Amino acid sequence: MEVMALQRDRSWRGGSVCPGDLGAVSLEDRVTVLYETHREEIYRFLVGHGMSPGEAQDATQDVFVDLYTALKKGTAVESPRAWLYTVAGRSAADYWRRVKGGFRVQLELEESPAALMPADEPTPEEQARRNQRLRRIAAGLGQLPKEQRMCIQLRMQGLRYREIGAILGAPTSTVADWLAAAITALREDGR
Amino acid sequence: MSEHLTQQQLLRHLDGEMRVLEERKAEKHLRACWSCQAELGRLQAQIAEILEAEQKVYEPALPEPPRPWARLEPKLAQAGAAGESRERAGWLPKLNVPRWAWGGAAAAVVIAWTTWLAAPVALAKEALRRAAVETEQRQRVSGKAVLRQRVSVRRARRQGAAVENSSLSAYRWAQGSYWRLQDDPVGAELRERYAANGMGEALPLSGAALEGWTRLTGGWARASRSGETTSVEVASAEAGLARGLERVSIELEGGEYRVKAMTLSFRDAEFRIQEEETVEAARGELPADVLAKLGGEEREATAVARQSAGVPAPAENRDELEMAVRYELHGIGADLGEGIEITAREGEGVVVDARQSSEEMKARLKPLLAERAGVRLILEGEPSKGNTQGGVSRVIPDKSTGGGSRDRKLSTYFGSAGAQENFTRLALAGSGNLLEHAYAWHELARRWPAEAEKGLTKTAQEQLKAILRDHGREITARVEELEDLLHPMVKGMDVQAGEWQPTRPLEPQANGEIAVTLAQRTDKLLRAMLTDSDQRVTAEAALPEIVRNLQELEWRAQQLRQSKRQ
Repeated sequence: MEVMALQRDRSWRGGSVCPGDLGAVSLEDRVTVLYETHREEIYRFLVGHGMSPGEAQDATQDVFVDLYTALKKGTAVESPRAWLYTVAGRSAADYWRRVKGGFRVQLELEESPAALMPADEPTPEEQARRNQRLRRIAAGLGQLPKEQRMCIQLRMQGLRYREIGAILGAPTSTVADWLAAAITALREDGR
Repeated sequence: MSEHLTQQQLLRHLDGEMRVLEERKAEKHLRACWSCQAELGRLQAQIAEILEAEQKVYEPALPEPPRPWARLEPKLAQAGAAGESRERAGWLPKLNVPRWAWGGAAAAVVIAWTTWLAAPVALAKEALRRAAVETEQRQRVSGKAVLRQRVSVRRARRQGAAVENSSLSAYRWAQGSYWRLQDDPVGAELRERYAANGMGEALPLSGAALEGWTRLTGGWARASRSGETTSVEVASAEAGLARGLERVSIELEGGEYRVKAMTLSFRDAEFRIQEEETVEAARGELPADVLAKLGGEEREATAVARQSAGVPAPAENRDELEMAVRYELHGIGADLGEGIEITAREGEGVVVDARQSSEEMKARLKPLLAERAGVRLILEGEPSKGNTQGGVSRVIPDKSTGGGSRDRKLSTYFGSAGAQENFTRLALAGSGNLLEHAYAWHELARRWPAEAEKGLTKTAQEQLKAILRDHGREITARVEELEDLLHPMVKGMDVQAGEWQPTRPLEPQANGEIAVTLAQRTDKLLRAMLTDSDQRVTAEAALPEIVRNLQELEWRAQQLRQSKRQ
């Protein structure tokens, strides 16, 4: 049964591809389009949560295969992106359990395009200061405890506290605490 | 709310994660407090910066994929060929959300979360339940049989000392159990932790231990599957953390739900317990200390059996036995909606009347109580009248509709009958569960009023506290779920919900009585508001009282948890 309630996905980013407009194409084609559109961001999410690039690339494919399998079974998916991030989040959490121990994300900040950001600050000095602050916050993101970083990144994708809690096996109140702690830490980093 | 809002509160306010009362208070405070308004502005700016840093700096700085992206089609074809049998992950989120009209959007989001969460939690819960039942059945001992379980234990301290390994044997027979420790410090510490948490009688890997530890965490269970192994993990909520327990992980084997290993993660140490073998031991092979323990208990049991057959047990023993039975029944959820009546009768010992229970529950009770000395288990026969939970029944006055016409505002809010049906199902399921816990609380409060509680032995008091704490925690959780479910409706329909003002704290017993009345009233109001009952009430009329009731219930459950922790 091919049921795919994608047209109701209100959180679609950028409007590059809206599967709801795809018409009568096969389920495989629809998932392939989703894969081509979102694989990079899911890959980066997984790398950002401790997987090596090779493992993250394999795990990314598995996330989309899981989506395909669920849809093929007739599961109606409210928001494919939220679904993909939920499965990716669980995949990362499983990876933590297998590997154990903490990790820090290796960022190549020197080569990052922060300097190419649009100059909406009034003076070059202020622009430089702002870029510097964003770099410090980005570096801080990489240094956050893994649960806090995942909370921040899943929240960015529009997941609710309960959904995040279900991924991390934590109550909603703990998710709220982790988010608040992460924001406070990043505020300090940005100073 | 006179004090300033915390960072966490401000964040939950921005994210729409506050519950009804808290949200109203926060809004009221924010209107009055410039300081908090300024802090809220700073928080929003901070979030915007984090988003910008993530998108413009963090993400581009992560390593690129090491190789070109492979095509997905071959993997999809493989998955398709595997067909229906493929169930790579038991925790796959499932969203069975119907297509609703735009009017039900807010409720749709709420129901989507609930449905999303229900699947993995239900799967994990079901796996745990089956594992506990099947393990208990496998380890059932009757007559003179003795079961021996050998496990390896690995203890890892959180700080300092290296990992220590040990191996221990535990024995179980009809009247009791015994851990053979032989000066083993790792086993002794584990045994102490079992005993301190009410599992002194359980084998290390048994249905009782499984249920006891996972129940203690009070958190959500989630399951995953890898090959033939199903892993269930329960992270501790407040109650578990208060006991120093952070997480329980259980590994189950294949389709048999056989427990292979359990890891108990405490704040200070982690214990991994792995089964080596569980077999029936021949009496002739039992070590001397086990035989001595077994002999002593059998003599004791014979004496108790004689007592229960003829001479009644002393009153204080009856109370203790009754509480022990209640504690065990609570451990398997038999105190929730099963209509089991427990009485301590002179000359009969403790009578457990389970005639109204489901067949499944009867099957679980048999191995637990059928041969228990001093306990009479009744499973067959005509149930006695008056053996009902509940009792208090109130009629909701028809405040507004005057005879069954549908609440138009409610229909408009939902947008479709399907949406309303789903919402109703969730709300009534939550309310029913809330009611079950309130009844169980009330039942204990009625059985042991404050004065009688003081007369219980220390162990029985601890067991009573543990049961009450569990019900308090569950009531809080159910109330939170209902509030989350109703929150968009209260907002969407612009209903003015009143605020319940806390009163002076009461004894848990008195709170229990109030709690059951509030839960009954809430359930009836929900039914009157959402179903085609004869006594319909409009949402506008019902919601303010429901919200107030839930606030009060939450407060009283909180009182229960706090008072019992002292």
